[in-house]
Amino acid sequence: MITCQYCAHKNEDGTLFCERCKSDLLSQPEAKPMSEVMPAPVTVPMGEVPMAEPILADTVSYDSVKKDVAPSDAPAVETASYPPFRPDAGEANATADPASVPNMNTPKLLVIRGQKLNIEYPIYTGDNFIGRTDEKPVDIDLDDQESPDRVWCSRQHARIVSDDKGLSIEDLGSQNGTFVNRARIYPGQLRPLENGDVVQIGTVQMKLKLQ
Amino acid sequence: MPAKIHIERMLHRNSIAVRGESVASYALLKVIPAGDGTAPVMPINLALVLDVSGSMYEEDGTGISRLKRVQQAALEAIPLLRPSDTLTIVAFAHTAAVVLPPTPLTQLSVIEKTINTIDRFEIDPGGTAMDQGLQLALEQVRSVRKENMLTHILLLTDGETSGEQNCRDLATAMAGKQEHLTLIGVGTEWNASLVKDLAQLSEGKWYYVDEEKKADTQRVFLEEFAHLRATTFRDVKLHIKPMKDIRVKRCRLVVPEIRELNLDTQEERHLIANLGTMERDKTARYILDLSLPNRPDGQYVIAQVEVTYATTEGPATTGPVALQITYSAEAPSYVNAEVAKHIDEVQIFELTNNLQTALDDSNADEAKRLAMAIERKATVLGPAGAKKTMLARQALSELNAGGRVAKKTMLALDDSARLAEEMPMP
Repeated sequence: MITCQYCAHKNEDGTLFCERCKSDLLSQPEAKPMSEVMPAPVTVPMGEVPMAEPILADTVSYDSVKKDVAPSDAPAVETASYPPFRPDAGEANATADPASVPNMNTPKLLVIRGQKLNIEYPIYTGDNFIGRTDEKPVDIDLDDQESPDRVWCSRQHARIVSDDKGLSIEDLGSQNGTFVNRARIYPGQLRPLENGDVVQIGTVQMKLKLQ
Repeated sequence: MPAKIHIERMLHRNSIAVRGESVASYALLKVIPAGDGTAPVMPINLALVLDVSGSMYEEDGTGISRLKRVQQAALEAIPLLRPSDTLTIVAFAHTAAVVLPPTPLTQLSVIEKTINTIDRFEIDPGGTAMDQGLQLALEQVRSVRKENMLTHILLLTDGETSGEQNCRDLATAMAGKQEHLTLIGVGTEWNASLVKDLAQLSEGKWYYVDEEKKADTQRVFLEEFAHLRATTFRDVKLHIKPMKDIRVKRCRLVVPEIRELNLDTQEERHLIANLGTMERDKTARYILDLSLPNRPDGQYVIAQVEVTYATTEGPATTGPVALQITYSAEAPSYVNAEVAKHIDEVQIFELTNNLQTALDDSNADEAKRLAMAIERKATVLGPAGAKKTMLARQALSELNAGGRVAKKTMLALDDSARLAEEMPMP
């Protein structure tokens, strides 16, 4: 319980403002680690969760938080021994086979806007998860493609499926959305991809190259 | 592609640590219309209910009477309707009368003539019988109502009314029946608490028109008619099915305006909120206040949410979408800034309601404290809270000067507090 400092109303843990007098409830135990990370919160503490809608970032400043994950220089495909976490499906699903050898015909995503331009991410048969490696690995890790104070890519942001029908992409309920040729796509919708399509994830734009 | 609705959802924190028996958490739902706008047009069955009482002849220093401004605004807005739409006009003062029975928009000249001569119908201007006006309008729209039609009443008043309880009963009866009500209050003498109540009871909305601004009536009419014209989804309902031991404390609309929604318990662990109508291209957002029990670490589905709706092509659904959260005693995750921003706005809205109550009770000290809290909270919202901050400061300086807040300042603050500043989409 959090007791309101103003009206002494007892509120459930985690409540953000008093149910009765609507005053701020600041003595939340959970808020502590946040204030340690965020010495001078401008508004509510905002962490590494990306800003919701990209347009706003130019008008609102927020403190960036140093991420625990050390950025790796080589944005290669994860060769982790456990499958990527998939939020919306319970059963195990086919994932990209890291052992498959990239050849000339492997489709690639070429970074055309991002911190490291002209880097190519190969797309393998099966599911290719795009996001930022955190507690779970992803296949296409965009962690070092965004500047640390403008992280709009979610951890599990989108997935590209490569199968005998071709390539398609699905948003995985990301905070800031996935865009194909500037049009937003939605969770649960597999959108087919064609050569030359521009995929935007967070602030990063990538062009699909089939050959 | 036919018109469709999608749901996006996010939590205040993706992972939580529960130390006690339970913890409060918040979820943001975005209800997003999609489709290329080629959906068949939904015919509108609209009634205008206009106050023609004596006070409507005041000019408020604009050089043109309130009634004349309403007539002009209506004449400008009505061409936004389509030939398939139907319009009814009811005028009320001491009594009420149907001055235009349900008339198709193809007869535009008849409609225009009626509006131009609305002050010449024999209605005794001494009094305000809003309840009779609303009653007559309801009878008229119900007489021509068809399946797949959007039934809407737009009521404008500038004064106190008789028959308040009747008004409340009529508004309550409209809720959940797909009969929608929008209220417009002109100036500062209308009964703000009644109008707001009616909006709440009927699950509708209200506007405030600043009587000293010549173009404000026109602004509100054009805005409201544009909303009507863009309405594509009717009978939109949010279904929430929380898992065992999870409590949904309340559900609030936060964009386009802040309003608490009634949650009906359909059956055990199945709550329904009526979302009313939705426009083709306007996303609505909702905050769910949740209470989550203590659980071992791991990932859990806490609820299924689903939106059902009707277009001119019939009923449809988004299908169920899971709300998930991770319990982690070690590492509660960071706060989602977007969810937090909406909760800040809700808090300002609630503080403003309390400020209104404190002013009604002549509790100046409490009012000052609340005005300061609103100002502090609005300041942290930055540019998105600029208007709220400005109005809270105004209220505070009026309180410091004379211990009271002008009704106009309070109305403007009320009006501003419920509006979330919508962030532009990329």
